Amino acid sequence: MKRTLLLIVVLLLLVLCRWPWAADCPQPLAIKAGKIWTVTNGVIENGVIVITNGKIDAVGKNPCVPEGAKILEMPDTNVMPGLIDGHCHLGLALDILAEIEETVSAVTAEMQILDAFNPAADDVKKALRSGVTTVLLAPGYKNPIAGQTAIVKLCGARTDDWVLRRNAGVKFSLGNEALMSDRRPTSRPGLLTLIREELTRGKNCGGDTFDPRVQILKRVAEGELPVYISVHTVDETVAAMQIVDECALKATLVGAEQGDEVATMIAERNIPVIYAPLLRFSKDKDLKRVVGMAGAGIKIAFASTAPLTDLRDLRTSAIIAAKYGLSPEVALKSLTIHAAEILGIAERVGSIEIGKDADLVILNGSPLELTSRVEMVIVNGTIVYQGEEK
Amino acid sequence: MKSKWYTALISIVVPVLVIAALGHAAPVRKKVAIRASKIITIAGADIQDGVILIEDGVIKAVGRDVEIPWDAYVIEATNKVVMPGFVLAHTSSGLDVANENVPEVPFLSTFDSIDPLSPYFEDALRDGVVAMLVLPGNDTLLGGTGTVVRPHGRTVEAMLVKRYTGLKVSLRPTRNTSRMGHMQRFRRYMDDLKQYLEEYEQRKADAQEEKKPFDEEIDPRKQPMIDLLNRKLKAFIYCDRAADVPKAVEIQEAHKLNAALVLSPECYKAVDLIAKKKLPVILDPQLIVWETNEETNAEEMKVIPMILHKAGVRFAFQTDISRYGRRYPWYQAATAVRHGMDRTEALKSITLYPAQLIGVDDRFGSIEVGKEANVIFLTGDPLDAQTWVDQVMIAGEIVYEKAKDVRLKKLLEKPKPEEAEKESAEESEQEKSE
Amino acid sequence: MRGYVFLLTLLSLSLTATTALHGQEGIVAIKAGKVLTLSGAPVTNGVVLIENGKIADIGTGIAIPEGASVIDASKSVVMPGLVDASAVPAVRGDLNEQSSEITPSFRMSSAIDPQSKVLKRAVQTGLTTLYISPGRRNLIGGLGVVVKPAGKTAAEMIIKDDAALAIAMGSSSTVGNRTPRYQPPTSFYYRRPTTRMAVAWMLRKSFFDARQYAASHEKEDPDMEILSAALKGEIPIRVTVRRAIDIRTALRIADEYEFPLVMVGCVEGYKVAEEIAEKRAPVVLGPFYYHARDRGRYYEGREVNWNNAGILVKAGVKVALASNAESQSDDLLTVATVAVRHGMPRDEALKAITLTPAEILGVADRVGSLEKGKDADILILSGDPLVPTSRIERVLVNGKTVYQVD
Repeated sequence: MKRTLLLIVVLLLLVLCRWPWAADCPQPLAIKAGKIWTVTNGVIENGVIVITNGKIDAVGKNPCVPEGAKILEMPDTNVMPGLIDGHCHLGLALDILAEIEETVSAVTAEMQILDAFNPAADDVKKALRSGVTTVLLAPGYKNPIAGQTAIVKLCGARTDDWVLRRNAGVKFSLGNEALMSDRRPTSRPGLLTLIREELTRGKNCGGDTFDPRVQILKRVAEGELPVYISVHTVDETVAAMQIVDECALKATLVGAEQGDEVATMIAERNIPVIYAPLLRFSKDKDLKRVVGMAGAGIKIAFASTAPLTDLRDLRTSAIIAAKYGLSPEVALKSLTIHAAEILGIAERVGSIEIGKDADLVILNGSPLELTSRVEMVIVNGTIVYQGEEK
Repeated sequence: MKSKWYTALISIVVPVLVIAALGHAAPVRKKVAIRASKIITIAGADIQDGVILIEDGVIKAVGRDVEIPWDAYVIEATNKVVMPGFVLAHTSSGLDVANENVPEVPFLSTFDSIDPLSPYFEDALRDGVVAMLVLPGNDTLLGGTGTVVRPHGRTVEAMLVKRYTGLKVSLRPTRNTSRMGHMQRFRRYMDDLKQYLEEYEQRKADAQEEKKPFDEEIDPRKQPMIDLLNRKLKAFIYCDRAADVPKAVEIQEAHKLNAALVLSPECYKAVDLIAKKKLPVILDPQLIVWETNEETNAEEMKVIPMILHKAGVRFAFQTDISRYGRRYPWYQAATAVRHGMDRTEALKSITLYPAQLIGVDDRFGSIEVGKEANVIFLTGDPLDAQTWVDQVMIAGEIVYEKAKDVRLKKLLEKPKPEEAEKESAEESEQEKSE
Repeated sequence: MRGYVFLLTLLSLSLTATTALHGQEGIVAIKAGKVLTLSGAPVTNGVVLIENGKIADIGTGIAIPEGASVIDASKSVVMPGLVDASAVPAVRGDLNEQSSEITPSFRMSSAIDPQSKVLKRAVQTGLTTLYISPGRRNLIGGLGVVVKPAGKTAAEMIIKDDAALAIAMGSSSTVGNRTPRYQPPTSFYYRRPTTRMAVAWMLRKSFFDARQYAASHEKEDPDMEILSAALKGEIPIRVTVRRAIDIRTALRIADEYEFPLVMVGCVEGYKVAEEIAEKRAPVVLGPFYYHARDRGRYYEGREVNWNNAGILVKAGVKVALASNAESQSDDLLTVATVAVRHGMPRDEALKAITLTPAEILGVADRVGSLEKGKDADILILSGDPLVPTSRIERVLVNGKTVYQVD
């Protein structure tokens, strides 16, 4: 009697434990595609990707496909890892851009952008449909120290699925947008002095302070929290690097539109760059700059800065860069694995490798062709977007 | 009895003497001869050690071997350069307010608002200008008619050279209007005017037919525009942007106007059209513009007189009294020469060409027999910045002498200590009252 | 802490600066019709030899080494590049940090825009050294910087940082410090000074505090460090003043606190020329206005004298002519030409746009005249520089041609 009871209890436990999983766990998926751009292991022609429990279980020409797997025959398609947007403001704007910066005070390091994010927003869906699966959400450009960024996936059923990082680092802005006439700083030297003051204050504070702002700055000053510094012109880029040197920050430059002119300086310091959307530029001279930067050995990721620019610009930025001389391989990597490495999430996303999240974009042509259309988007193994049925 | 006789004598003789004395106070000399080391005639070659003979204010003879009559008053201008006084074909300075509030006011005249005491005229005379056409500003569509004046005289009548000269048309949109609206306003005005004229002529014809008397006069407010259509008045059309030049050409051709273009610096971009239509041109005081080369990001210097000169366009210079170099007509000419313009052409652009443009070249612009004696005596070459105007002669009479220029002395010399204190005291009084 | 930061900045700046400042390698020889050295008698039909961006030799009968690139200026006039002791700012953003009136540690060097159009135009009008000052809206505006228009980054352009402390007296710093009518005083602009009294008082207070700080202090204060260095004469103090009464106030305060003074603007300097000469204060003159009504509105006086420069020079004052940050002003050669016309001696006028400003800025060891060892910053003109028909044909900075007429 006791044994049967024990058996029943064990069986019940197994069933109970298994059941919720079964509800959430998508059916194993096997995608047979014409071309698989793994990004880190070359291109596989007519290969198969096997997805189990939201992760990539196998990828190759002839991997072992589990029983009961749903098989998707897509012989004319190209599959690549989900695109990673290095800097955007999706799902944040109710009244355009009003929600992304708290400008009354110049330093708002304690603000968290995730508190303003709306995962159900329209632009989130739009971004998904263009193949973007992971983004860095950031506050705006009008505050010298604007707040904490976050890394999210653009869909997910459970909280831990869509927030990859609650606090991915602090956003700094060194551009002229951070200057205002009615609050400090009103001038560039004032801006740089302010930032240095705040970092010094953070560094010098004892560990027992209750001020959340100073606590965050302390972590930044100690190199524990990364910073994303928005710069546009050469002098801003140089000023940013000076601050990074002085305060030994773990930094990434955002924008850096003229970074090619001081590319050696940036490369020497191993500072990665999340480049501005290329559709903003009209002159050939400006469109070539990112190529120069990549050539100097700087790790590049692309950004859409949506909704400041159209969120569909992400892939277009890479395509334009490729047209102006960026190697297709580097262009593709900048949309995927390099962005993941810069954001510190490469163990989960950025390439089609065993063990990584199944975030995939399926296009009807090469990823670096403007004429290619996104036909399907998969996040965490679930089909979240499917184009028109033919 | 005796006292009455004396009183009578005194009451007649004394006034006569007084009047005679007053009369002699400012003698107008009938014959004047100027002997100068160098005469720049503008009309022909320069003359070394020449003589200009003037009778009743008009030049009678110019040359090296001119005989000086025994009763001529001789001005020895040794070591001086004598040349025609400068002429400015367009200015809106010297007015109290350059523009009226309302866009269509062609019946206004600058004669009514010229301020003879404006420092503009004082400086102009000091710098050798002998005639300028004062026109309304650039912020009205049909601003009004202009007046040619000389910068010497206590009243506008005393300054007057020629009234009712030129009508100012500006293509810069007035406040809160677009270019579309501005041009349409002009076209409508012209259409209304033409309709008015037709109806007027119709009424006149009807009256004649019916053998009725016709004493209706043309509305005086429309008269200047009618004179414009009849080519009795010249249109001075201000172009604010290069894109206004084709519009100005359109207006000139549509109504067959006698026109001159007043250009803003940007209008040099329309040089080909200007050259093709052979319209006379007045340059903005700003002769050099900077442009960013989009490809190289370099800043390129565009020298407007050279661009127009190379295209064969004839122009006159303007001055800007508030700026260092540009306030002097000779500086404008020197800037053009610096960048390659022929010296004679440059000098003509501040003397003869503007005089022709404003229709006073029968009297101004060059030293020629038959023209009025409007000349300046310079201490050196006109294009040398260290040259000063020593004397100015207008209509045969010396009206300015640097040696007697009290204000200039005050502006160049160190004030005596008591004077400095007095000035400061006056200043604070003035400020208190404001 | 601040010293450490300063050193680190200096190190990183110098690393990037060394490459650019050296200029052209190799030898350049200019065959000149006339050389106005500004350091001695003019040289006729001479040669200026340049090596590695510096002047190697000047004179007649100099042998031109083989391999040298030769510039034929045998019909032209050669002179030093012009020095503007108060140039139009080539910066981005506000000229003052307006959140406070007293900002000694505001550094104009952090605002420099290397791609500024101002610099590109300046070179074409002959300027090869420029002093960029903080604005006039703040009582103590901060530290200015001396730059050359050559280089991609600010570090490459700067030849002297922390070159002078900017102070603005008279009414310019009171501008904007009043609350708009019928509105509550909520903005930080509602503050002192609003009158000349307050301007003088705040200045005295700042210097007084600096003296106290220098005597003894517990915590380091960067602003006080700069003010006490300035009082000691380590950083030159430049005061922008226009009216005679403000000039006198400035001289008085300089006497009280015993610091050497440079005055900028000095539109009414002619009224107090002797007092300025007595104090041996150099003056940087800006453009004058022909008629007082053309000048600004803020109670800055109505009197003008067209021969301000000449009168000051005659009284023994060291005068530099500058554009005084007026973007509307004409180029320096025109300014000097007009000054001569109105009574400034010719030699003084030429020096006033070259050597004198270099001396005032403390960079005369490098620029301002054509002498052995100085930077090869050279202008080649078609004729005498003070004649309006002369044209700038070529400009060299650090021995490299940066502008040339086609």
